Amino acid sequence: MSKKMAVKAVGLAKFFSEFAAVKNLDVTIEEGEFFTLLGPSGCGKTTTLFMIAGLHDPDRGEITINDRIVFSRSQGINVPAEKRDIGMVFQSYAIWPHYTVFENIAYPLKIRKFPKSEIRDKVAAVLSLVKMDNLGDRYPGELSGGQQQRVALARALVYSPSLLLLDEPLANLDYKVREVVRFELKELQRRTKVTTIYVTHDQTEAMVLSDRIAVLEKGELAQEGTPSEIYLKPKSKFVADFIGLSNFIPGVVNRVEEDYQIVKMEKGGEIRFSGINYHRLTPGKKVLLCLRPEDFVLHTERPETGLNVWEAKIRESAFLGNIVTYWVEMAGQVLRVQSHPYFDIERKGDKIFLSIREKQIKIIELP
Amino acid sequence: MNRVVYKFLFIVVSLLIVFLFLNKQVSAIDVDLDKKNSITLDELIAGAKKEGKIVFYSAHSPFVTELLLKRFSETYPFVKTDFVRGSGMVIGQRVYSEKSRGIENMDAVYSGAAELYPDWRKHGYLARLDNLPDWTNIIDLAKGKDGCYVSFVFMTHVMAWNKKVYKDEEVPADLREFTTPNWKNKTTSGDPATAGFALNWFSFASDIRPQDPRSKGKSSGLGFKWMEAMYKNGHLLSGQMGGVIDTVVTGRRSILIQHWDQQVWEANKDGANLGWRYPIQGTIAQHSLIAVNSKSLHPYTARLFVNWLLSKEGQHVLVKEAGFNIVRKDMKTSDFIKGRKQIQECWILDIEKITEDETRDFIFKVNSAIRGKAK
Amino acid sequence: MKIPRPETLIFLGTGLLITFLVLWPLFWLFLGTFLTDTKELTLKNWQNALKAPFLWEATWNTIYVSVVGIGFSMVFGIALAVIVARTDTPGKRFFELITVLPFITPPIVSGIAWIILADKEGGLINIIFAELGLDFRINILSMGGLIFSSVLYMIPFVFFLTVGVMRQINPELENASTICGASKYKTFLRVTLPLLLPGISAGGVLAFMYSNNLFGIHAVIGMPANIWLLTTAIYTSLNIVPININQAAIQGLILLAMGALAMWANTWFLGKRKSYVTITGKGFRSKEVKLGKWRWLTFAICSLYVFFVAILPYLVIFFRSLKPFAFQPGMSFMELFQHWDFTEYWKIVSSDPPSQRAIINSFWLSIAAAVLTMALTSVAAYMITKTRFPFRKALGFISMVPLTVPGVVLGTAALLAYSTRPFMFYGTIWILLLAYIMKDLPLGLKSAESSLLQIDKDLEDSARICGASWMRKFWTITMPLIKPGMVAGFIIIFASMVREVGASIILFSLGNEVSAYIIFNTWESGRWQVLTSFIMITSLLTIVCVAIFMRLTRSKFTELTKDVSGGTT
Repeated sequence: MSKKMAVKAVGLAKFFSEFAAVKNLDVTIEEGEFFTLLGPSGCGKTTTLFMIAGLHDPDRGEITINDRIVFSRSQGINVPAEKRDIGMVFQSYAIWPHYTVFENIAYPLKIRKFPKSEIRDKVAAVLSLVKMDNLGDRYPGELSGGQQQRVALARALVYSPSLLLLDEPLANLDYKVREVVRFELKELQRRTKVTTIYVTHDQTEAMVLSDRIAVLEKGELAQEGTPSEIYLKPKSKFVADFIGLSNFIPGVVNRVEEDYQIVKMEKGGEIRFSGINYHRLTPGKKVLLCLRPEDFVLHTERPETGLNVWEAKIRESAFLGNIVTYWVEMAGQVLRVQSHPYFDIERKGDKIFLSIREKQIKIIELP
Repeated sequence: MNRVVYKFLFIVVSLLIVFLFLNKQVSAIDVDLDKKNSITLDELIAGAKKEGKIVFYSAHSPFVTELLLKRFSETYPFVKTDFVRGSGMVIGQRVYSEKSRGIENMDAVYSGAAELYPDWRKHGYLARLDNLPDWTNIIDLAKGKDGCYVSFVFMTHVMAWNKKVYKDEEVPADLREFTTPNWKNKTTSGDPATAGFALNWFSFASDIRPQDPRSKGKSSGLGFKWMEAMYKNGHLLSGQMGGVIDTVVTGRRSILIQHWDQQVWEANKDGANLGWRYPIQGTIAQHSLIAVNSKSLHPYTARLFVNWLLSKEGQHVLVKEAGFNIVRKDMKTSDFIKGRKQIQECWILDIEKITEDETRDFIFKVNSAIRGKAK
Repeated sequence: MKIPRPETLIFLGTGLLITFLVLWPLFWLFLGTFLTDTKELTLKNWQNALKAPFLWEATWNTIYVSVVGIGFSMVFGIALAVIVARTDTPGKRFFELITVLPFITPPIVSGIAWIILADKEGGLINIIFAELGLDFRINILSMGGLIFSSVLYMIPFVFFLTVGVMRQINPELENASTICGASKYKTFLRVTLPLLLPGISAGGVLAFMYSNNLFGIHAVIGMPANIWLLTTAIYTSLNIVPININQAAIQGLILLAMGALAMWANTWFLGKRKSYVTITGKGFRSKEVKLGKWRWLTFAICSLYVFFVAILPYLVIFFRSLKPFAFQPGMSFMELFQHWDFTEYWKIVSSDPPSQRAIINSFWLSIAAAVLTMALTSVAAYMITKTRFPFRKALGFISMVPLTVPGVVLGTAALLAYSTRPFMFYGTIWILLLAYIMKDLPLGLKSAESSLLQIDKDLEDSARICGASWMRKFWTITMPLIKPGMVAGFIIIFASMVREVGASIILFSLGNEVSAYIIFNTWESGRWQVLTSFIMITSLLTIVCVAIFMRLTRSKFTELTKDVSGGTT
């Protein structure tokens, strides 16, 4: 709690006719952090971003940016977007085709009435920052997608805003370009230390870039935390499913002991795990086991440990280069598991053995 | 590119402002010339020098209108002339709508619709003309009632034919002959439904309209029955003035039953090669009335213009250069154009006697007859 | 928070101005039918009118001419559109270009040209027939002639409309049909035509209203042929003495009702299938059907069409302008080409004040009207497409109403409205400006709307984020981006106003003449050489002006043709 609050949004809600885009959202973003709003399309992340930007008016709630209330329905405050001093990069980049790169970037500076010489210097500096030096005289029509995106970024940063908003800026780029830009973006943010709010549906992006992630589902906050927290400790099926791959196994708590618990799987078999980090479970409670493919270890022969070992049959496999993915049938369900590429078994119908480590099992309690 | 748009808008806006100023009306000079019983030419000239402009509403052809104004301004070079042209009906209607709303754009007006002038006089739209210097030099027939308008020329109607198609001897002088099979589909005239000049002649041909008692010409003796017979014989109604001439010249219909003598004269000047004569039935002389706006913005110049039209010089231009029948007591049209009748010998419509209802009724009758719809 | 933002005031002002310009004249048109000369309320006008057989005759004629005219023009227009848009007929770009010519030509010109050609007694065609010894004669001054001239003028309209609609159809829809195994013809009949249906049906309604705008043709061909339509009836009511405005108002109202009825019928007929076409503003290019040898046939058809519609009228008019009399008996055919007489041209340009005034007035009025209309409609379009301003949908509707108002009716309405206090513009040139703007609003709005829709919202939002106020954003970002569409709209409106006849004839005042009046007046007095010379001069000037505008702003031609048909409703 020592870090300053850059953005605080409380009780946000936004309706489009009957449709509730955002229902009841609370987010807090700390100064200098890279914060991502993550979720599938329709979850309300872009709407939230736009509300913070001032391009949409919330139907309920309050927004504070750098200790200034920019929106409050109850108090009747609504600072218009043009006065919020934010930088923003749109999904379409929104580079004006009738201005050169220079003119595009200089636009906000002109509005703020900077003298000509200062404008020239600042634009040059920020062009350097995004590695687009000497391209100031080009028109957007002459630039590639990646270059346009950099111009958008440059324009957003040139007036040193206190907040930077990005709306899925990498969505329209090729895979390889996306990777490069992603990396540069992170570096840039580290260097400039500008508070950044990023919106995406791509969880890899979110994981790579963010200090913290807020996962949104149908207009509400599903979970908020660091990338590892979200990945390793998903609080709901939705989050577990959305981030990374998961196998879900329904079951019932069978026995609860001091340092271990046993859950009986619905379709047969038992799992034993040590739930040090989990709440106390009671026998008879319905739960959902969440096991990621990488949690499983594959064996060609039955391993000796005995606990949490099952027999499985290979249904389908796919060679992905760095791993091999298998769909196997175990305990009456189909699970997705994987192995390193040198694992020997590939053929359908082959029998293998699966084992998992106790500590890797995640439990999600069902209501 | 924005600069082009700016320049453009600037030009448009400034043009709008310029026109706003141009359209401002100058306030009328306070003078009441109508009260004077006689005005001298020098007074008119002195006043015109100060005003320097005249606006003439004319239903005459561009040739005639421009000729008159040109000659007028040659005599009085300090006057700038401006005119607006329209058909008789249009001019007539504009007079009503402008005067009734206080717009005094016109100075002098000639509308072919002679029957409107008495009504205008009754509304007080017209100024006195009988105090002009040359008023006493013109024949009485030309003078309008109460001296508010004057016919500065007359047009008599003649029949004409295309000389390239017919020799003069071949064309009968009796209009009744044109109802015979020999002349089927060979005749044309103006259309009384749309052309004022044609309506005038058909007034003469109908035998039922009131005649000005000062005129000595006899009635035509033709009547509606003749019109119906003409219709049955394929008579073509050729619309407006120039259209009629066109019809004859191109040989579409080589016999023209009626038209202004002046128009035939003008056409021949342009190389039309038309022969003409008066039929034995006689003819009608049609007014060419001019009047001055009682609230004219250029009262002196307007009167100077009308006076010039009645002067020896003006009348000379009208007969020699435009082919009209002039109205001065001391000049004879037939001295300049052989064959022209004296105006008094023609039948003239009594415009003071006709009423709106009578006119409408007549129009209906004549159109039914000439279009074969008569019962 | 209670101080209104400047843009709110601009929106409000624009909305009020447009509403006034449209509704005030129409209100007076309606009221005028119930007034006497002395401004008292009465039902007598209606009683008299409904009893007069003349009114019924004129109404019936109007319906007849429009419906038959639409039928023909749609058949030919669509066929030509298909040829140009979907086949590999050679020279089709050129055809598209040339058929813009009728849009800068007053309809009256087409009527006059055909009278010169096909008048029963003296038309050039008939003279040729006579020379060849044939007994057959064409008579343009007939119902058939009237419809023929109208159709010639309406075909380009339907053509551009259909081409525009066709270009909006996603070719993937047709490809899917082809993949399923349907032949080209089946695909056309089962997929393309039904997709075109809403657009075509809307086009039919527009063509109907357009045909009521052809006052020039109705007057020049209909009146001498004694075929009276509501348009010419209105003109006559306003040109007899004493003027009968109330009767004109009734006739106008009937004409208006017909247009409105047609629009309503169209909406009802289409029902929910408003449009199958997404107005993205971007056209699709679909594959051309290769016709092989047949394409020379289609080429011939197109050439014929272009010749009849665009080239022949001007050729004829040019020739007529060179001789005082068209043709004299005993004159050889070769003589037509000798003794050319350009004196009328010179006279008009140098020494005829009414003509000079008329040309200047027409041009500056059209330019001013175009500029003002585009200014108004771009703001209105912005309101409608990009804001949540209350009543914006109503404003959009009101702006499109003048589409249903033919020129003569608009003139009558303006006549009534602006002869009453406090807006006494009658008798001045300003009434023409107001009427022109009212007439142009739908064109302008459609043009502005389609331009604005093409702008990505992000482009404007990012300007706001950068700190731009609404005014700054509108001026530096929005306007430059819609410039191509606006310029195209401007040029179209300019051209359409220069050729406007209906309202101009009614609203002009002596001293404030416009070209349409001079043309009409010289036609009325039968001075054919003057008339044709004048037409040549004004047409040439219009083309030159349009070319200059296009060059100045480097407009693309495709933008122009998109707007020319006025868009589908």
